[in-house]
Amino acid sequence: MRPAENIEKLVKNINIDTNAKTDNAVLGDVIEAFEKSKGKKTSATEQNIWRIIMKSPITKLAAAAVIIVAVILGLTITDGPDIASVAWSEVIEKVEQIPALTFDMTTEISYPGNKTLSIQSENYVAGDYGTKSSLYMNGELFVVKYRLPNKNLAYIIRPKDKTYMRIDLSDEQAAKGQDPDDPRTWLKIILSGDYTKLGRDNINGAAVEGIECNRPEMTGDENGIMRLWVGVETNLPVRIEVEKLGMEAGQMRPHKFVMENFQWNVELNESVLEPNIPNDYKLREEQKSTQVEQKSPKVLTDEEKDELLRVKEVVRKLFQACNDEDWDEFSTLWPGLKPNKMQKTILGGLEIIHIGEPFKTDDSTTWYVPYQIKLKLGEVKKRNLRVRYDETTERFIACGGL
Amino acid sequence: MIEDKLLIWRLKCGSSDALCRIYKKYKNNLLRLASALLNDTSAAEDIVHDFFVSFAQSPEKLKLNGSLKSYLATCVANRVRNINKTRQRQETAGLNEAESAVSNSKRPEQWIICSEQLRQLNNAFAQLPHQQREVIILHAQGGMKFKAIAELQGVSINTIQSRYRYGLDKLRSILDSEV
Repeated sequence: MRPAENIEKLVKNINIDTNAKTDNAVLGDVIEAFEKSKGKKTSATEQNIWRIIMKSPITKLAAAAVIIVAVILGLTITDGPDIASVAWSEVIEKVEQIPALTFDMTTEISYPGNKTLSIQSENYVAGDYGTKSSLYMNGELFVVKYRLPNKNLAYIIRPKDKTYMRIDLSDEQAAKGQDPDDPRTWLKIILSGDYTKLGRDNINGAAVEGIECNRPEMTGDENGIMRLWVGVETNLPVRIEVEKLGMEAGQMRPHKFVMENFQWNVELNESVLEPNIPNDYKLREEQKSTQVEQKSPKVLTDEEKDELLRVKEVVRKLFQACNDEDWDEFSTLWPGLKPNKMQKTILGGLEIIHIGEPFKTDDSTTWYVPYQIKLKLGEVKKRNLRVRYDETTERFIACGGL
Repeated sequence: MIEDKLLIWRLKCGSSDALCRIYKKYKNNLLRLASALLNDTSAAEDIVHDFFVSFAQSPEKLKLNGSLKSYLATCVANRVRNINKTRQRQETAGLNEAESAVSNSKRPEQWIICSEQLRQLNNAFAQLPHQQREVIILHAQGGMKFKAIAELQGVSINTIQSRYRYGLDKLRSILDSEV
C-alpha cells in the first residue's frame, strides 16, 4: 500500500515536460496580446478624457479655467529664480534604458555590544547577462560572486581559500536572482507608492534631493526604512539606503545597506562576467560543518534513547511546516518565534534533504539534530537544530540552530 | 512572495519581461493542473493558452490578495469548470463523442509531452468524482488553501478536507490496484 503522504507527494511532484517550440509560439501570442492591449488602453483613455471635456459645457469652462490658471502660474514661476529639481516620475524611465552599471555597496549587520560586521562590495550589473560582486571585509577580498542567468550558472569564488563553488540554476532560480542584485529593483520599490520628501542635500559635492518610505511588504520589517537620493542635475540615483531587521544566523538583527558611487552608463562588457577561475582553485562540494557538529556526541542513557524519535519528529514537523507555509504550526513547534514576512519568504517552501540522528554533548542538556535543507532560493543549509524539553508544556520544542 | 509581487508590479507598469517570467514560472504548473482536471491534454493546452492571452490583455484587473500561484490556479480551474459545463450541455445534445475522439487524437504540435507517470496519474484522477479531484489537484498541485477551495466550491472547509481525504484514499487504492 502507498501511504497517503506518498500519494500527496506523487501528486505534488509529478513533472510535466513541454515542447519548447510550442512554448515559444504560445509565449509569442501572449506577448502580442499584451503589446496590443497596451496600445489600445492609451488611445482609449485619451479619447475618454477628451469626450468628457467636450461633451459637457461645465467641464469645458472648467478646463479653460485650469488652462488660464496654469498659464498665469507658469508665467509667475518663470519670472522667479531658476531652481532645478528632480523629476521623480522620470527616474525609473531613465535608468531602465541603461544596459550596464557599476556601484559600491556597504552592508552592516549590528550585533549586541555595539559590534558591527561590515562588508563592502563592488558590483557590476548587466541586466540579463548577469552580475558580478566582489566582496571585501577589513579591506581584504574574500568572495567573488557571479550570477549568470543566461547560462543558468552561478559561481562563488573564495580567493583566500583558493576554492570555488559552481551552482547550476534552474530557469526559476536564474529569474529570481536577477532582481535583488540590481539596484533598479530597489529604486522601483521605493517609487512604487507613497513617500516623504526629505528635501535637498549634498553628496560628494553634488546637489541631491531625497525621499523616504516604508515598504514592509518588501523589506519584511514594519519599521524598515528605504531612502533614495537623486542628483538634481542628472536625475539619476546617487545613493539608495535600506535599514531593516533581517535574519542573521537564526536571529533578527539590524541590517543597513547603502548603495552608492553609481556609474550609470558603463560599457556592457561580457568579459567582465567571465569567471576565469585559476587552475589551482579547488571545487568546493560541501559546506564546512558547524562548531556544534565538531563536538563529540555523548553516550545516551536508555531514557534519552527513548526520546530520540520524539526529538526527531519535532524537527521533521518544523521543516514540514515551513514547506507547507503553515506558520501557526511553526510557532507551536518553536514557541516564541513568530516568523515575520522576510523569514517566511526565506523559509517558506523549503525542501528537506536530510534529517540526521539527534545527539547530545557532555556540556549541554539540549538535543542537537543535524539537518540539511534546500531553501527556495536555491541555498543549501547544513546545520544542527537545537531542541529542548519544555517543562511548562511538557513536550519537546525547537529553540535554535535555524 | 516578494518575487511575484515585484513581477506583478512590473507587469502593471507595462513590462513584457515580467509577463515572460510569469509565463515561464507557472506554465508547467497550470498545464499540469488543467490536464489533471480534464484528463484531456489538448483541451488543457487550449485552456492554458487562452488564459495566458486573456491575462496579458488585462493585467490592470489583477487584484491579488493571496499568492499569484493560487490566483492563477483558480483562474484556470474556473475555465475548466466552464468547459465542463459546455461539455455537459453538448453531451445531452449528443455531440460529445465526436469531439472527444478529435481531442484525444495525437496532434502534430503538442505542447504537453506526456510521461507515462503523468498519463497514469491523470487516468486515476479521471476515476474520482469531479469535486474530490478538484480539491486534490487545486490543493496539492495548485497550492491553494482549503479555505479558498471551499469558497470556490461553495461548501464548508470541513467538507473540503473530507473530500481531500476520501479522494486521496481512493486515488491510492486505484493506483495500488494498477500496480
